[in-house]
Amino acid sequence: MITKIQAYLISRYPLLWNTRIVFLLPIIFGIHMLFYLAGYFKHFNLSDLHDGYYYRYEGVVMFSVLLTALLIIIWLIFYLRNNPLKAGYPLRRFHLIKEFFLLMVVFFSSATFFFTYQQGVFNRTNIETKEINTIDEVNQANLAFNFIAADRSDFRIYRSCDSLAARDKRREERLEEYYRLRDADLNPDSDMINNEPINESLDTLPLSYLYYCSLRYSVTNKDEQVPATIQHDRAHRWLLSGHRDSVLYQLNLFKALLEKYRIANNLDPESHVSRMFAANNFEVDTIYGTTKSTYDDYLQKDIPQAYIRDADFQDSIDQISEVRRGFWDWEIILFMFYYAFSMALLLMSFRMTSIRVWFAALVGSGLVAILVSLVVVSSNQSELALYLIWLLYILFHLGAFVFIRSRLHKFLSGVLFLWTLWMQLSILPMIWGKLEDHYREINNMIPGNEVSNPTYTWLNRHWHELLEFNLVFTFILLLVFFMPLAKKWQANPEE
Amino acid sequence: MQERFDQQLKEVHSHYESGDLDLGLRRLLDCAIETENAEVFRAVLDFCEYLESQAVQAATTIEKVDILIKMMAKVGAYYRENGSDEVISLAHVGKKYRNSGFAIKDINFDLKLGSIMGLVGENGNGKTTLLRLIAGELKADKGKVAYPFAAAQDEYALKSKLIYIEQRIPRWHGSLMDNLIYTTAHYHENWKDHRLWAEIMIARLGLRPYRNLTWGRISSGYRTRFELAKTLLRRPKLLLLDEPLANLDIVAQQTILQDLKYMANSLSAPFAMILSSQHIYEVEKVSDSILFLKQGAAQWDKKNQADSDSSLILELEVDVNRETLKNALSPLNLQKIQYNGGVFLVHFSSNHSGAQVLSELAKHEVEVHYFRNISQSSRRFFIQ
Repeated sequence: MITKIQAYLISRYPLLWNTRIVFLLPIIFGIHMLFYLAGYFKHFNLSDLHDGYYYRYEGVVMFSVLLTALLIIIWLIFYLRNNPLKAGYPLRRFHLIKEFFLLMVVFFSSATFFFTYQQGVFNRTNIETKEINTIDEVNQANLAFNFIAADRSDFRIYRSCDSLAARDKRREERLEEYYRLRDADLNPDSDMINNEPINESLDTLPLSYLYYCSLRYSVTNKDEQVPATIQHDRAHRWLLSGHRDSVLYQLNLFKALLEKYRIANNLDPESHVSRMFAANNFEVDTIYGTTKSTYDDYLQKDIPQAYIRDADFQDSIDQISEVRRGFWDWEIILFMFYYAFSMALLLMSFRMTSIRVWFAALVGSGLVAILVSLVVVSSNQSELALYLIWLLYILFHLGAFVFIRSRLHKFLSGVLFLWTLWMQLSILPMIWGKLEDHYREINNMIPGNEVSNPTYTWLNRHWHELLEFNLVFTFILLLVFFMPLAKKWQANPEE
Repeated sequence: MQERFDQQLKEVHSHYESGDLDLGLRRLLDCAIETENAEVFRAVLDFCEYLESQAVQAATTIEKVDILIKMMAKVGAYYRENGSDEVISLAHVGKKYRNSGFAIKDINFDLKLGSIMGLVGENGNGKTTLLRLIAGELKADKGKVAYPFAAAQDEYALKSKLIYIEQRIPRWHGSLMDNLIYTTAHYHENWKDHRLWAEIMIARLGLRPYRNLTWGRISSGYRTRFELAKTLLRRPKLLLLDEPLANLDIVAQQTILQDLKYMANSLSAPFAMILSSQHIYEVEKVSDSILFLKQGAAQWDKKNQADSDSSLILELEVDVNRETLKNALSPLNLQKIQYNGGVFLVHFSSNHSGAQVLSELAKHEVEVHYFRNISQSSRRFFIQ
């Protein structure tokens, strides 16, 4: 079967035969399947969502990178056997660009094993968490957190859920209190003169659940969740109207959520609610920490404390949301395209010139980089590097074009040609970045934040489009400029 | 063209009739290649398989050959417009190496399709440099190298028809057949089964028993032949061979050169050829012209230069010493005797012939083991 396919390909589609892509792609597909299944059938429980979910991929990433490298090396042994361009075989107009495209396919498909694994994990997570209503759970947890104090700094006017008018009124009352105390104090050396504690006390609310307003958790689209003020009003009503059962029910719901996600805590809703309602004016008697115990410097030991690793809940919710969104966002795809494009360009440049010229260009590019760095460092102007690179790009371009067209200096023209080719992908983004910098400076001169320079805004918002255009533009340049020039270079005589 | 093809077919029949089966098969394959017809290729390859089988009978063989000849006569030779007959023209071409100071000086010649030129000279006298200049690998400092057959083509297209085989043949990777088919696929795009082309060329060069081997398992002589097969599949217009005979045994040298001459004169895909070699006599046998290079300059051009020197020069291997030989040949106005590695080089003034020399030697009962008249051969320029 394989022999028959080989015989057919070598005769009818020599390019496909030589790239071995017909055999390579099924192998790559098979490896992708294995990675997907490994990800899908990986042991799963909800605690994974907050318990170093990402970091546990490290081994898989390393394995996938090694596998990619191994696959590419073996493939290169076959692929590099024949080079019709160097052998001087007649080539159709689109032969080289088709070859380049096939190389891109190879590099793109072989570098994404890890992503397939991740896709498997995501799909499994999606299935396992499909019943979870994240908005509902976040709302439940946020309501419960109106009865759990986790930070003293939450008891501040600016964090209050009161309206702005109510906050101002409260602040006025506190100011009056301050003046009264100050006037009453005849001792000029009194601490009350020191503004710091006074200012602090002006902002501080009483340590009571009545003044506590916390929106602990959020979903990506905040419009979908119940706002903090509404949650606070409801909690406030329950407290003032003595709805102990409602509070207990809510805390029990939260406790169940913590248990479901296996989030470490020692919350006891029953005793917590009992203490809350027994306290004068719902005064807070427990500030929950995020760890099981806290280290006491004075006692030199860990002191047990009330705790909830509350950030784990947010991590879990975030993770579920991310899984539902999927990780194949355009940025990752674009990055992979750039990787595949660059690798294909590097390999294609090796195919289009001689080994001697290619290595000379490689070593030479390092030397040019060092030279540019030295010039920049000695002149102490970082911007100079950019202008130097552009200047070199233009010079290399001209040199390569003129020398190849006039059949002069084959070695030098080959090196210049490669340098131009390797730089091509970075030129447009560099120009764009420089323009953006320029307009950013103009933008920074505009006072206030309300107005911004429209050119800067446009440049800043269209980076993606530029990067996409850059790929297409370089691809077209390869077709109409670089590849015909490479053929010409191949036919040129040495000195 | 059809007349020439019919003549070729008759020639095949007569080779078989006279029992020269090997030459008959080679010419039969030449005729098959001239047709460029897949059916003919298949039939001829079936015939090759039959020849390799145990059941070969002379009468059946001739019968089969006649059937093939009829088939090919019906199909006819493939006609292709070959454009200009003139393939290459060198006018006052010169090239100097800056480091060594060595230079190729004022080379002039032109070649037409089907013609063969031998390039001879001692080592280091510029044969390879001249071949590389013609192949477009080096740039001439002076003069002009023109390729009239490819006047309207770009340099790359020209290079694909201008094939230069170096002395040291680069290694082939993968199977030999795959290499040949891959090459064919680039040159015979309209064909569906390129394996047939590769098979027919392999058969033509007598490589069928080795076609399933790999590069590492064949000798250097067969590597040269496989490289030639690949080159011929590329349909060259100008074939440049640098010392192609170096790795071949004596029989193969003569066969390959004769085969190349046949193929260069092909009806459907003729080509011109320049070959450099130290095997002067073999090269002279097949060449239409000879260029002798000495220190980068054309010292003698057999085709273009009228030979002013009409003295008789002979190579002799005899079982007597110099004095005896001198005495034996003294009646013939002997000018000079040189001893060169077991062979005497004997110079006479004009008006003598080789037959007279042999007659004198016979009179003096001198046993002659080897005799060659090199008066018109470039061999005489190698004499110190």
